[in-house]
Amino acid sequence: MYICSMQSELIKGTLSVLILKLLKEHKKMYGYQITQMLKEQSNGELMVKEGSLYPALFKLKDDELVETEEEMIGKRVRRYYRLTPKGEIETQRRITEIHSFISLLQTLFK
Amino acid sequence: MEKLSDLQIETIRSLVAKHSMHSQEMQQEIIDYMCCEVEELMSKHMSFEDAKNNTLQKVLLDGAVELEKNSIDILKRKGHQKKLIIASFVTIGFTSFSVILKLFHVPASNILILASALLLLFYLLPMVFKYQYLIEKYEHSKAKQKNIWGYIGVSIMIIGITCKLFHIPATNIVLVIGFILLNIIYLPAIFHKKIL
Repeated sequence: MYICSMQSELIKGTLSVLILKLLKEHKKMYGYQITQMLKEQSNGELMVKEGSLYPALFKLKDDELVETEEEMIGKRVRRYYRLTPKGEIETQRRITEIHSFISLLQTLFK
Repeated sequence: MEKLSDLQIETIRSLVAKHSMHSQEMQQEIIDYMCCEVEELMSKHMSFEDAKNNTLQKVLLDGAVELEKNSIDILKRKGHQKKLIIASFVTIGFTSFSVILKLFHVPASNILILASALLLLFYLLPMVFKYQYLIEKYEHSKAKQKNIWGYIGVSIMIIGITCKLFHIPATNIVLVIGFILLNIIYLPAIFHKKIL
């Protein structure tokens, strides 16, 4: 199992791409939903901790790749994240980049 | 999935509020995250109290340092950086202008020099050393101590230089003390973390 925290630099480097990919597939998502979706899609292998998730989301927002939308759930605020037009282009670019990088790693680690 | 009542949300909100988060955005995110986690655990037949304690331990106690290190300080630093840039421009510009006037012996330049010294001592320097501390505090356990010494050293130097400009006697001693603090304590501490 991979726990995405400060120590796991390997996973941390790809977290933003994973988030962007999920947002591309699901249009809008909130923080907890993203962690659960990553856990589900990785068959429970990838656990993203909130300490890694929110900084990554804030960074994406800061870079204007995602935008937020608030919704009141009872007495609490839920913040949904969705891709901006700039984010959609960047997601495609990063996914292509990561595919090339994975191929490269596979070649190197043969 | 069972939804939390307003009272239960309020309980979680007060728990999060105790862990002084400086960003309201982060606080709201953590409240929602914890509520979701508690609801998830309650759907597995756990009581609210147990689910709350379990989530509290995981998110706010075990994860607090990581959370703070990764996000709150990023936000704090980001906000602080902008203020620092503005403060630097204002203070350095004003100080340079005052020094030029002083060099040409323009009347009232002494007041400007004094104002510049006050700006440096109580506006720019505290910001610089606070910013430095925010960056270093997790990597360097004695970052606070080091930056306080740095602030004291530079402050003494500024006071010494200002006094020297006004030809006040015995300012050399102040300057020597400032040099000693900076050269013997602060500067070595920048390069050798074991010193402080």
